[in-house]
This record gives sequence, structure tokens and C-alpha cells, in this order.
Amino acid sequence: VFSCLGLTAPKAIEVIAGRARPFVCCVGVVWISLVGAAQAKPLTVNLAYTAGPGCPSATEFKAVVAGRLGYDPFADNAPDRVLVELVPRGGSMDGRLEWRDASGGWAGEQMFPMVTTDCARLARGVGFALAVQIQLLATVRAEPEPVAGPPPAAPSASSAPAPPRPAASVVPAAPAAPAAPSLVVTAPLPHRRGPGPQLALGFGPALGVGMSASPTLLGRLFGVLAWTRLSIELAAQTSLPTTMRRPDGSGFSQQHLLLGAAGCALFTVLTACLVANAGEVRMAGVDIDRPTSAVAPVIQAGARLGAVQRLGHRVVLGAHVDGLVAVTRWRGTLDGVPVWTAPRFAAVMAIDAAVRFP
Amino acid sequence: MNALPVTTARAVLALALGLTATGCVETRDLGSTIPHGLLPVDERNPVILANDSATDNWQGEYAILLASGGGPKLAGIIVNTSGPWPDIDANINGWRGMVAAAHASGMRDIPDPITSIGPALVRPADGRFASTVPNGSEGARLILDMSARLSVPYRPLVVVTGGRLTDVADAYLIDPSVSGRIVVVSSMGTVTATGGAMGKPNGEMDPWADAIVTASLPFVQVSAFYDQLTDVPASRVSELPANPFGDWIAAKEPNVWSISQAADQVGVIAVGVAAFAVAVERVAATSTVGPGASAGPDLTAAANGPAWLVTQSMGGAATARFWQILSDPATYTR
Repeated sequence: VFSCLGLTAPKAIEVIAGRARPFVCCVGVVWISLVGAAQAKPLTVNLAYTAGPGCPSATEFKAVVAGRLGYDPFADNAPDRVLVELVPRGGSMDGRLEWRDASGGWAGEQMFPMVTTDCARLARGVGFALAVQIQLLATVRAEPEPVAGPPPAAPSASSAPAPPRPAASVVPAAPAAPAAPSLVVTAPLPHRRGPGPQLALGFGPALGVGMSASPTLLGRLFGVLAWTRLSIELAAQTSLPTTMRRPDGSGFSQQHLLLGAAGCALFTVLTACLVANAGEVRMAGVDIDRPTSAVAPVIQAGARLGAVQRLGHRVVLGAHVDGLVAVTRWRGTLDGVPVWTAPRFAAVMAIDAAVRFP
Repeated sequence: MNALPVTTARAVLALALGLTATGCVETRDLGSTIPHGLLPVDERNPVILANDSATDNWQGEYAILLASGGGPKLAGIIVNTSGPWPDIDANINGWRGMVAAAHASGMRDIPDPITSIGPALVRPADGRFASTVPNGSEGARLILDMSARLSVPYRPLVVVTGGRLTDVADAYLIDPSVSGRIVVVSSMGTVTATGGAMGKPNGEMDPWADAIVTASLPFVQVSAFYDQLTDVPASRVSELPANPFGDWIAAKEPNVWSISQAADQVGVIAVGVAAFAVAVERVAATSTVGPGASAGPDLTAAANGPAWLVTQSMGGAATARFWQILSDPATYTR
């Protein structure tokens, strides 16, 4: 059931042409749903519909779904929310269908990339998928009944003037539409509820406090492997050189080069992590008669609190704060006199942008 | 999968805290200062001037010009008395006139002079420095105060003397820790076959103070005098700037002593003009100062001696710097 709901399908399924073919992935469960539909209470959902120019209106889209279901499933006060987006992308279009539960939490999504700009066609495909999912959800929530129960009380033909209801015996037998533009229906991208890890690569600026005498600007590159509730991050970060000076104007510069790892627990939008950084700080005397340079090791450990926000299905924005304990510390001296000593505690505030890969 | 087990998190935290608690601080040396000349101090060190009269040499003028022309910064002026200049009122009035002329000419960062009243220190019967009764003079207090405010380990305060060392020794007697905050540079004495003598000029004024200073404080004796009449000869008076400071120098020029040993400015020049001191020896005080002594201890050449003795100087470099700063309009805007 969930594979058809788009929650755990492991890979993309491409079905070429034909109105019914995009929905082959759901054939098995569609049959089950139809069988059990007689016992399912009509399910209502709260629809949030966003579409680009040239796309069907929300009313037209609702009509597609209602036509498939045989009843109007949309109600503003329904606990389940469905977000539908039909977005033009140059010479193609992206359709997206997202489910949210009664508490507003993300419950699943399905993507519909399309290689033409026929938005009406995309809307029909998304609408049909939504109808099937509503039907399935209604079945799941109904009282358990034997699968071999009475046949579904299918709506009469008069009550379903729109395209014919999908049926197990019909979908596979639907004739292929020759030479029609491809409609690619993709199962949901792997996500945190999927069985395997999801990869994301990203970058972002950070501000370090306690790493030098003044706040330090850092740049980060990182990769993340994420499972349902856990993720692992590996990062490389470097700071811009900062200079500490004593009253006579002489001083020394320092620059951090660090590799970091973080193990995170994932919640709805929040993350909590254990963090460790290791690397070196490069230092050099400046504006002094006889400057020298040196390198000192840096090891930090600490905790991270963060938040993530997805933009579309590939881009993720995040922000986090690291509280770090300096396992190793260093002190820079000039004329044998300490100029600056790395404090025991440091903090890093970062903003990240990442791209997810299937 | 849920969050990391709490026990794992606690273990990691305990490990981090443990490593932190046992971790040490690694020190990295990132550079050092090299004195610009042969002495341990240079124009980057702040100075306090101590002298008696303001009229017999160019010490004050050099100090003021150098302070307005790149250093050393002038942090204080102590005016005291000596055998040749016993009138403290005359002495302080002379210095006040000089500083007023500097201020009126636009040289802003020049401190007002203060008087310091106190006789030469008396050698105690037991011959121990610690038994000496200090004067507690104003000059000594100023040295202690300024050294606490301005001295840093890599750049101590320099006390440049052109007279007796009474105020400097007095400061040490009040607070011996001042030895880590000041360097004493004195125009004094003569060069001998074995090193230097702390006699005339200036060394004979307070022999016991000489003994205390050479034994207790970083000390530089500048015994390389030059003909100070070449600094402002009568033929160059017309080149002096047309401002109150130029007028002050012009008025003073006829009164400057013609004997080279009166050129107390060699001390401040040795600090502020790197090219001035061309020969320097390391020396150590090797004799004691008995009751009724007329000079300080002998300074004997020693490779690692605690004191420095300037034996040769380049008066031409001093004069050139003097006129360069004097003629620079920027001198009178800072």
C-alpha cells in the first residue's frame, strides 16, 4: 500500500504514453483498494493547489479527482492535507504531490516530472494518482475486512461522467497511445523514510566564535548520508585568516583547516548531533621584525542543534549552531610573550545549502 | 532508527570532557623583535627624561623633536637639581619654557615637566642597598607610575638621564619590581682602557645611586659625546623654523656649553637614532662604592655583562636627524 502511496518505492518507474500507464505501479494495490472500497468510508482531504500559468484551475483539478473517485473528497476542515504543485521548468514540467498528517507533519510525497509542457495532461496524471491514494488511504483506515469481500459498490456511470474508473482488469490492458509525448511518473525520491541512505552534498558559510580573537568567517563543504532518523555528515572547512595584534601593532595571523564529522538524530525539522573536528591551525607572525610560522593541531568535540527546511525535492536549506570543546589548545607568542591563547570553548554558527541525490 | 542511545551520547561527552581536562596548551613562537640599533632599546620604547638644567645642552630639544618625528614617545620630564644647577625654580622654568614653545608650535604630545626634590642618596653604614633610605621623590613616583602604565615585557620604559641617577635609584628602593619594567640610559662618565668610569660628567653627582642602578637595573651608559655646537651653529640659526620652538632654539643657542661632555642629549639620541651608537660594549660593575666616594663603580668589559657602554657615536647622524625633524612641517601637527 505504501509503495503506491509513494512513501517507500525504491526506484523510479517510467511508463511511456497511454493515459493509464503512469499508474501501473499501483496496479496490485489498486485492485485491493477497489475490492475494499466498499468498506471504506469516503475520505476527505484538505487540498492546497499551486499551478503555473496555463494549468487547470483548482476547481478543474478537483473535478479530475472527484471524477475518478466518484465523490468530491475535498473539504477545508479535513485533517489530512494534500499539497499539489504543478510547476513549469523551461521546456518541461514538474508535478509534486505531498501528504501531510493532521499535525502538519510530512507524511509522503510523489514527484511527476514531465518532459512536455502539457500542464493539463500533467494535472490529469497527478489527479488520478491522488484519487488512487485517497482511495487506498480510505481503505486502510476502514475496518479490517477480508479481501475477498463483496465487490466494490462502484459509482454508477452517471455519477462518474469523467474518465472511466481504473480497474485491475482495465489498467494493464489499456492500449498504448502511439507517438504521444512521454509522461514520466517517478516514484518518490529516496527520503528519510526510505530503506536506504540518501546522499546530499552541500556548502555554506559559518561564523566561528572562540577560534580566534575576533569572530572568524569559515566556509564549509559537506556530504550527508541520511537514513530515516539518523544521518552522518562529513565536512571540510577552512577559515579566513584572522590577525591578532598586541598594542604595538605587531601580531600574528591564523587560519583553521578542519575536517569534521557529525552524527545526527533527525526529527521533523530539527536535528541534534554529536560533532568532532580535527585539523590544524596555521599561524604566522605579522608586522614584527623577525616573523616565524607554525602549525598546531586542532581537535574539537561538541554538540550541534540545527534545523532544516526543504525547498522542492532536491534542495535543502539548514542552519545549525555547534558548541565545541577544545580538546587541544594552542598559544601564540611574540618575543616569548603570549599574544593569544585559544579558549577552551568555541561556537560555530552555520548556514547550509545542500542538494539531495537519488 | 531513533536517536543515538543516551548512554552513547554520555560516553562521548565524558570522553570529550576528559580529553579537555587533561589537554595541555601548546605554545608556538611566531616572531620576535630585533632592536634597531646596537642597544636593547630603540625609538619604539617610550621614554622619561630626567635632567637638571634646560639651557646647557640640547637634550630636551632632541627629545621633543624625536617624540614628534617618529619616536621615542616622550612619556614624562623630570626636572631635578645638581651641583652646577642647584636652583630648582630656574631649572623647571627653563623646561617649562621649552615645552610651552613646543606646544605653541603645534607639537601636541609633549608632557609638562615636573620637579623632583631630593638630595643624593646616602650610603648606609652596612653598605647594603636595601638599607638605603629612599627620598620618595616625585621623579621616582613618576617612574613607577609610568612604568606600570606603559611598560610591556617586550618594550620597557626607558629612563633617559642627563644628570644624577638619584630619582631612578629612589624608584628602585621604593619598588624593586621596577627593575623588570625599565631600562636606564644615562649620558655619563668616560670610556677607559678596561671599560668605563662612572665619574664626570654626571656620575660624580650621586655615586651611591650609581651603584644601586648598575647593580639592580638594566643600564646603558653613553660615554660617547660629540661637539654639540655643531647641532645648531650660529650660521644656521636663520634656518630655524619661524615658530615659537624655532625662536626658543635661536634664543638658547648662544648659551649652550661648548664642552662636549655637556652634551646630555647623547642618551636620548642613542635611543632614538639607531645610527648614532656605532660602538657598544657589554660591561659589568666590578667595584664597590665606599663612603665618601666621588664616582660610581667601575664598568669592566664583560662578554655577557648586564650593562651596555656606548663608546663611540656618530654626531653627524644626530645632527642630520635633528634638522630633518626640525624642518619637517609635519612635526608641528602631531
